[in-house]
Amino acid sequence: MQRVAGKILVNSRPWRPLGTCSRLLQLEPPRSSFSTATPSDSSSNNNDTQQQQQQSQQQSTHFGFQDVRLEDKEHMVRGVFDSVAESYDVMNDLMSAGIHRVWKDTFVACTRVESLAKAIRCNAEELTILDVAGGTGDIAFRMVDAMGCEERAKSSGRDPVSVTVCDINTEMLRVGQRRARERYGAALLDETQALSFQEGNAQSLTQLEDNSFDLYTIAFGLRNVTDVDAALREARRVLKPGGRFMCLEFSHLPHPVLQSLYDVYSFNVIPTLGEAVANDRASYQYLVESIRKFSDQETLVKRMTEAGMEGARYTNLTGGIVAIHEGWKPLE
Amino acid sequence: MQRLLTVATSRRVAHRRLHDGDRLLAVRASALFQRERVVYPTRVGNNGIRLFSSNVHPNSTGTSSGNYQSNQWDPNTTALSNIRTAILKSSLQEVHHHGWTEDALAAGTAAVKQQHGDKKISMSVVGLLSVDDLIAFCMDQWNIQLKQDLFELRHQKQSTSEKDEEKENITSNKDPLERGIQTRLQYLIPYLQSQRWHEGMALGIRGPTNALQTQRQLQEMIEIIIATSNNHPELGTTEKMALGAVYVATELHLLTDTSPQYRDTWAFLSQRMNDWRRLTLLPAGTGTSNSSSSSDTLFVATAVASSLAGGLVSLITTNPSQAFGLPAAVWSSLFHNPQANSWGTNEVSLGAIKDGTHPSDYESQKRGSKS
Repeated sequence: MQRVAGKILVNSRPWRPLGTCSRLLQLEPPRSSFSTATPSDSSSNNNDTQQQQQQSQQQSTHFGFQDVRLEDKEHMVRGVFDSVAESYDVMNDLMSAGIHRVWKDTFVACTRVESLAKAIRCNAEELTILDVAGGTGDIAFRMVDAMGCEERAKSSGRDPVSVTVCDINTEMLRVGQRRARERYGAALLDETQALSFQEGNAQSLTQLEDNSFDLYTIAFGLRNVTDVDAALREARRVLKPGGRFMCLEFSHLPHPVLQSLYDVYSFNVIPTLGEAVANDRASYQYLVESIRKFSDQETLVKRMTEAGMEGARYTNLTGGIVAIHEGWKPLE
Repeated sequence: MQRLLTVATSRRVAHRRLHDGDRLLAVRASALFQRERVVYPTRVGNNGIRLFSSNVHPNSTGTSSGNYQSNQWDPNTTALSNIRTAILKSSLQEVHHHGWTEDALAAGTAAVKQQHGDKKISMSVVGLLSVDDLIAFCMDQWNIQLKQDLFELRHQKQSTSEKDEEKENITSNKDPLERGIQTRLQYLIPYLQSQRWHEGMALGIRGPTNALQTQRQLQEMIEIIIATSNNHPELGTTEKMALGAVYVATELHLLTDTSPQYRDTWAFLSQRMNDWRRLTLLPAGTGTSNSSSSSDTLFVATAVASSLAGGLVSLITTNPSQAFGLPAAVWSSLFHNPQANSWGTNEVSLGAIKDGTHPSDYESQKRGSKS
């Protein structure tokens, strides 16, 4: 259902079908399988057993309800999105009854890019936005529209406002670029350079300089990153002091009854829809499972804080089915 | 079923925890979406009410939006908190041009960046703040300023000689409570002149959280006025409520006052204060209560209704078209675009409310006033 941000691998390995709804009700993911080890994990312990455990933790991560080898996850996720790319938008609409559009509109409204762009253009400043895992341009196009970049493109010169779309998946980027040209022509991409597309790994944005972006957005992509903590640290690195990190991601309903109802829907309806519409049940089964395996609201706030962000907080949408997390890079 | 349950929950919560960044969307979709937000902690008193402004450092932001929950980030101890305060102060200057909007906050942030001469600070830091924070900060600042101004006035009066005092009484024979209210109302004048204060009023009562916060700040203001009056009158809750009603009524009157130096408003205030003293049995100028036990509902209703009715009658008789435009403008501000609606000095109708964010919105008013 969503986009991916991981490392590009040329070859995709086959992967087997995933678990069922009953597994969800029985299993809660072990915390250790959620994240890769941090440097501190291996620096101060000489006990062989603990080292073995740590190595085991380092080498495994989750892929839906499966524990897989760390190096396998990225191309497995890539396989999912290669598989669903053609039916991506249709499935999003079907699975969410169109509500994903409102979530994205709300997310972009929360970025306040419209008022920021006005102030930027009046004060000869620059506003640089990085939309990670934004291959098809859903979020970027909304921001470009909100900031009036198309109107600005009628004037000559480079737009002081720019959105860089970054995605691991070249196919998604290709779709996004094609849509951008269909939507805006060449003006934004070539003349004002208000919109650009880059291939990149959320965990290692090596092509981007430190302190170079005002706003970092990632919508429905963070949970697919293999090392979420590394991606958060990288987000902090590329943000300017006072820059804002914003994440739109599926989350957890706080009420257990609602969560159970939601589980019944998502584990039965979504894979069935995937099978009927996209002829790909397994991919949509993974997407549902990956939502359950991802951090809940409070945990993600904690991880953001640990990554060095200040003022981390979240806003639930639709009762917590999705949440907007935000945090700021501290001033130096 | 899940959707129905979500709808039921969201309707209870949507207006309670509205995020500033999605006003329009959230209003449109509030029936569907529950928005629950973790926000920064702020200093609160033991009773859960924000500390009285005298205990708040002048540099504190006094943010007031949302429900405060535990959070690891303390906005009062970081560099970001300092810049928040600077942005809020700067944004208040931008309100005259942009209204009580996110545009004002963004422009204020840009101004702070230019003042600091630091291009490396991101404009996105403005996301820390909402327009609700802006109005709350403004009223907090006014309470702090009011306390300083009234203490200075009191100190000046005490230091004058008897002869000077006699002279002062001749030139300025005002009840200290009345003087306090007038001093506070004078802070509004720049925003009245830029036709932005009605937006601020609408924002201050938008949603229960803002309304409660505004009520607390007005309560603080009354306490400051009483505490800094000469005789420290022992007023009961009902008398304070009635005094607050006098303030609100006079503020309503002030909105439409076009008399030189706002003389009509100050005369209106004197009349309301006379009514208030008559109801509370206070001799003029003494500030000493003879009815500390008067707490019956009838008294409160009479005092409050008297003052507010006076304000509304004054509004209607001064400028009927404007008076009838008030509910429309406030309604529109509250439920559609809380920051930008305005009703003009000379023309308002339900179907012709302008967003008030462009100079052209006021051209007809200027033409009208010239003619």
